[in-house]
Amino acid sequence: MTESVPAQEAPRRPAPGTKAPTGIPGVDEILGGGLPRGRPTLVIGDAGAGKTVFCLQALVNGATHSGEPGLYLSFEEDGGGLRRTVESFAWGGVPDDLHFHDALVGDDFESQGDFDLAGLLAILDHLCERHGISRIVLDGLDQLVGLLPDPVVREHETRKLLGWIRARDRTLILTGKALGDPAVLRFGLAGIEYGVDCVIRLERERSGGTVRRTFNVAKYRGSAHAENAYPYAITSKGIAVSYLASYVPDMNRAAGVLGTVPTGVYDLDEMLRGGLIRGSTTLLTGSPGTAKTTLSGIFIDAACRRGDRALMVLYDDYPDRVVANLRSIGLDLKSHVDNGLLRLEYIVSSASGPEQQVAVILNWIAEHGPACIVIDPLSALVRSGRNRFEIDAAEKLIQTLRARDITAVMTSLTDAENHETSASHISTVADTWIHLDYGIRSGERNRVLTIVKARGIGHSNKVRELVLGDDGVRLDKVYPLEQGMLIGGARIAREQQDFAQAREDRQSVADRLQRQAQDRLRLIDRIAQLSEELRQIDRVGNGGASDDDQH
Amino acid sequence: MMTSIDHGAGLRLRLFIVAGSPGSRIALSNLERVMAEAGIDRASVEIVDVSEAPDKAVAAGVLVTPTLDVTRGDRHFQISGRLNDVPGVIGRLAG
Repeated sequence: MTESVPAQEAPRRPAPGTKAPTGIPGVDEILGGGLPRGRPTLVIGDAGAGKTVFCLQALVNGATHSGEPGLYLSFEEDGGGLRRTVESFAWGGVPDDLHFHDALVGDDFESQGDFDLAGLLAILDHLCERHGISRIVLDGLDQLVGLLPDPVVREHETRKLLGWIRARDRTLILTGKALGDPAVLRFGLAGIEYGVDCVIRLERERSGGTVRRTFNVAKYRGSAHAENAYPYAITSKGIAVSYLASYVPDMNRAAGVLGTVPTGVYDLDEMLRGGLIRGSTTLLTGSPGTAKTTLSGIFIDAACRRGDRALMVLYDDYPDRVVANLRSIGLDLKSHVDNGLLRLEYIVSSASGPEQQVAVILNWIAEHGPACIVIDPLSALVRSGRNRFEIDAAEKLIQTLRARDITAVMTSLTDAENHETSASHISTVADTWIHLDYGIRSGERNRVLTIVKARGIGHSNKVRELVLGDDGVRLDKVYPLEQGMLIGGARIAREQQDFAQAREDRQSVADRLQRQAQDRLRLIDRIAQLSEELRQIDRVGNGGASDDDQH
Repeated sequence: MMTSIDHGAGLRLRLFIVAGSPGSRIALSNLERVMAEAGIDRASVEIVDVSEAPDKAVAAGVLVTPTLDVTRGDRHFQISGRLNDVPGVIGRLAG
């Protein structure tokens, strides 16, 4: 039964021939604007695919944002249950212009011979006039039509329904259940895909132990649309489909006009000739304990100190623990949380699939609007580096961050052999790749940092020793050897040794120069003596005469 | 053999149809046979054209046509379809 809502003046219906935007992230872009307005659309999917959520979201958004009142008839669930479903999402409650009509086909439905849908269409006419309905959902119509024993009658009745919707110029969404192969509809609506203007498939794929949902437009009569299968997730905000339009090069970015973002580590900024390019993505790799989270925290702290909004997403670790750990090097992230600049969130990696995780992160981004973001570690999302669902999700995240000019630092764990396998694919996508490592020598384990790549930056190729202190992080020059290098205590000892040697060498040179000077003076004296002696001899040989006397 | 229907129980029949629909015409004809064979008073039967009075169908929770809405005492049920099986319908009304 339709809920008792006072009749109201019918709102002006949008012009026919245009599209009806669903307002579902990604969907309207794929559909080239929205569902065919005034035409029927079929949404096919198996149980749990999210058909009902899709339909409810399209109706809620239509009523809320497009001024199109909606009518929802479910043949499988009562209006109360549907209302609760709407309220369970962050859609702002049930809009006044969304109406539910109970059409539950229960076990007590009795039939004696064929029935037809003429009465249902008359009821729809009545409800549409009463509430000024623009969008209609018939959810689970196969439950009803499937009770018709004759397949010819079933087809006739469904065609009658489609003709009715076209004549009334109302946007209709029908749901259909997939029977095993998604291409096959349950018998109740078999063949209806040929009569509708648009067919959307919601499917589930499995890759290894990972499941993902995909959204695909199998048919859109008279309209261009994106044709691939796009992953989607269902979050507290409903369905979000991962779709990015073609990349439009940003000439400002190419020209370096966007500028740089300091990392918060002065020495690293020097190596990067100023910092990270604004809107770029940096991958920070290293084995556990190499200070990836520390550098990430410094980056976030620096952003907030500049007054930028920032988001730090922690995988499988609680924000309060990370905040406490970072306090040991003088970072006070809590103050940034308290003043609203920093949002700290965490994700349990095993609790959901990669698409779901990325959708949740994108929701946080939409809510908080950060200029800088940290994902720590990304390798919790891209676990194997070979699962395409995980890689697709991570790439989608990176592309979205780029499109929004969000400067990102993502950490990634390396394996025991120090291979960056977990995110090897991502390292090719990232703009900057900084690698952290350990060097063990003379009984010490010390951290070193190298910039593997930094697109668009004439960066240093030197290895630096990363030194953690109470006052933060500094990057010291390492001591190069013919083969390898010295770091830590060995470096300091060698440097002190070199210093002493240099001082000794300098003294030695000074002593030598002094000796040379003394020798020179002695020689000058000797030369003077010999010259005098020579003059004496010459004087005696001339009989005491002067040189002038001989002429 | 005529099935006995206890008319004292306050039998009320409403047949929801769409005028002009072939299925509705057949259902009307079959209902006439049910009434004749079961001795049901015409006064206890109402024919509702859903295209004229959709609010009555909405109020009764009717989804399709033809649908026979049956109230008998505190019992209430609906039979959808053309009512082709007249003895079966009478049996259901008597049950």
